[in-house]
Amino acid sequence: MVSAIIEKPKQLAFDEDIKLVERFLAGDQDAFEGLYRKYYEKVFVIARGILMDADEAADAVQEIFTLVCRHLGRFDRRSRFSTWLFRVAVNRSIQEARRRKGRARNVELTEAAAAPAPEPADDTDPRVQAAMARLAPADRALLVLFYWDELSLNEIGESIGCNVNAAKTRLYRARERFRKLYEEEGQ
Amino acid sequence: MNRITPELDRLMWALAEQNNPRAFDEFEAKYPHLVGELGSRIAMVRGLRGEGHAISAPAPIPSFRPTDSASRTSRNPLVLGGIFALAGLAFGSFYATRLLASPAPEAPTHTVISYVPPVPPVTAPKEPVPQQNAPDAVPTAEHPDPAIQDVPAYLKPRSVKLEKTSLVSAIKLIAGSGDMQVEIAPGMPNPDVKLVYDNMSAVDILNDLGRQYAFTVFDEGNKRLLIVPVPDDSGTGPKAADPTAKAAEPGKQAFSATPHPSAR
Repeated sequence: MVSAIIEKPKQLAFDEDIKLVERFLAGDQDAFEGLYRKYYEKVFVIARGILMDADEAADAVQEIFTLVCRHLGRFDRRSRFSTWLFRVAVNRSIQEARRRKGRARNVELTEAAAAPAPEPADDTDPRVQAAMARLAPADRALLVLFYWDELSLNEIGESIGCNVNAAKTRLYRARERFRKLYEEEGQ
Repeated sequence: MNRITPELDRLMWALAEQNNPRAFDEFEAKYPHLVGELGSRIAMVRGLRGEGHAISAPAPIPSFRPTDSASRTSRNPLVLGGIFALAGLAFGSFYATRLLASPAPEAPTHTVISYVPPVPPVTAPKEPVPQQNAPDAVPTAEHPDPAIQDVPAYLKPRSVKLEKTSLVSAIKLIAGSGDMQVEIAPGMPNPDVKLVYDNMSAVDILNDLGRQYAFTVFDEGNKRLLIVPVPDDSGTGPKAADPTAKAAEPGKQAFSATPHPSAR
């Protein structure tokens, strides 16, 4: 009974999302705007966490929602719209991060030296930023989904395309790798 | 240094993530030597969460503007080129393998089947003929005997020379040259053979081959032959024989012709 009460708000949100999806597929453009506004922040956080850059994250969010808009017909409704959206967001952001990494290799050292260092926010730990920057994008995605977007392991599993146990294992390993880098930054 | 067991490791991560002071006190009382370790994990988790909370999405939320770059797939020209190159390689490799693996064509490397001009029977002279007249007794190709010209194709004498040919191909070629159709029973051995026959009919050649390679030629009528990989036990030579046996042929006796000495 208790779990039913707890699950109710999520179920309601789920139903609302499905209704918006159906309306959009029926030709109501405003319905997509509703989904966009509802999930913009969560998707931005995912993109920002994986890409480590606010401007690139803002661009990535537009690309992610464009993809979702074009391929919403493929959403099979077996999972929540939100986790399907997060999955697109994670994949697209990881793809973009890898592409950017490839481009970064071609940047000359002189340019890199001349570029201003990103200014950390006042209330953030520079060690966390440094360790996150050294992590692989896929590991960053797991930490972002769990610690920043505060998704459950089940939701993380759906968002990265694996079951809950695999998600747990991957999260554990990502956290261990982060911890190692975090401690290295402290020395 | 004490090694942290997996259970303790999980417990410390759970405590670091729950931020429960009472649980922390209990842990401290039970594992005082791990308090430092737990503290560093708590700091790390707090730092991670704080980093997430510090992130703020642009406000107000920008309006949705579909981008063209989203339609851009990851398959840039280089990747596409690679895909095509791989497909080409696979295609080429498939055909090369198929070409190399395919069996050699059965066609003989050297085949000669030619008709020998018919030689009319020469009657022995009752009286010695002068030596100088002998050449006149030998007929030439320019003057064939019309009676022999009417002989069916499978009885016409011919010269056959085959090299590096499979037995089955040779049989088919010889039968075909005699205007006969041949059916070969299953289990027929098919070694490579080299044949040289001079002035023998197709039927005689097939019968001789049957003796050499242990098969029997059966006549099925209508110029159809059946080759069975069983040696002819009658000892009298081929059971086969005249493909048009129902109709008496003047040259039937040619079926029992002995192989030419040059046959191998």
